[in-house]
Amino acid sequence: MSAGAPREFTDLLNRLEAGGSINCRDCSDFLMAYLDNDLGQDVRDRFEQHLNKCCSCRNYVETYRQTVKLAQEACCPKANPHLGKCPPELISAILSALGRPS
Amino acid sequence: MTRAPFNPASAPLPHAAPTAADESELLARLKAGDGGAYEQVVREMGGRMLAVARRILVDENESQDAVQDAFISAFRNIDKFEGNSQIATWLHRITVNACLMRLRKKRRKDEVSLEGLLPAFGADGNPAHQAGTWRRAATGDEQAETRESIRVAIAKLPEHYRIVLVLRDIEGLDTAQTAELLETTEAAVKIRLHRARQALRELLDNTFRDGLN
Repeated sequence: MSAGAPREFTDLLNRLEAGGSINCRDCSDFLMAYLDNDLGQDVRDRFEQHLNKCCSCRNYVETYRQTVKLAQEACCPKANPHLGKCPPELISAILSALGRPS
Repeated sequence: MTRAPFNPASAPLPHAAPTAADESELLARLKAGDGGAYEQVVREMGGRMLAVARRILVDENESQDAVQDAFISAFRNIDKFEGNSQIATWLHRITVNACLMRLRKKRRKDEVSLEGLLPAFGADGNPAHQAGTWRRAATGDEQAETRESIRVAIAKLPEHYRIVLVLRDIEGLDTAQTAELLETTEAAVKIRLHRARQALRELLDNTFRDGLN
């Protein structure tokens, strides 16, 4: 079992043209391209055919989407106002460095 | 090539956005060397810039130093700022640059491998482990703890990958802007972003995993 090196999209196209089908590894490797709508329509259709029959890949796509959303929420200053607090000593240090002590 | 305006996703200030007239007046005061204007900007925007620096640098001392560098650089070059974006947006970009400068100066550590955090597959393309669903995020205090654990997980990502995830998904830079800042190609940014997201997903899987359905 290996995560392997990044794969070129042309590798996938060549395999599909040779009669192969989308597998779970393809789904994982080209997921971002799928979500960014960077796959051609034919590959996208075949990608979705695989998702329709593979529960694990559907779960993977959904949890990948959730990962991005959760990361954004965890760092959003509106939802986490304590993250936007600046220590008074840093404010003083900046103002002093500017020659304008507070 | 025309690029979309720089628009950090985490940009909203904790108070109402300033009007164009407010911005214009504040900029004029900054350019005139008004000490009160400098202090206003540092007090209003310092916290947000520090949050940006912490996401990129993780280390608290490094982050505070980068924010100080950024404000000093910004104010020394205030005459070059033409006001074609919000002051906060301009400062955000300078802060990101100050953080990246610090990263470049640091002696490069051995790159931590993501291998154990990426999905593994057999020769037949089947996964080593089936992906399950995740339970819904909690509410209230538990939600605050969950968000903290997510921030800790982001900080655990190898720097090479964390930077791209932070710039693209958190700070809202597009692929071209990220590639330019990191002096790499857009293709490399896309590969690193996808891998960073996969690795973060793996780190979060233990926290959120519900089961197969």
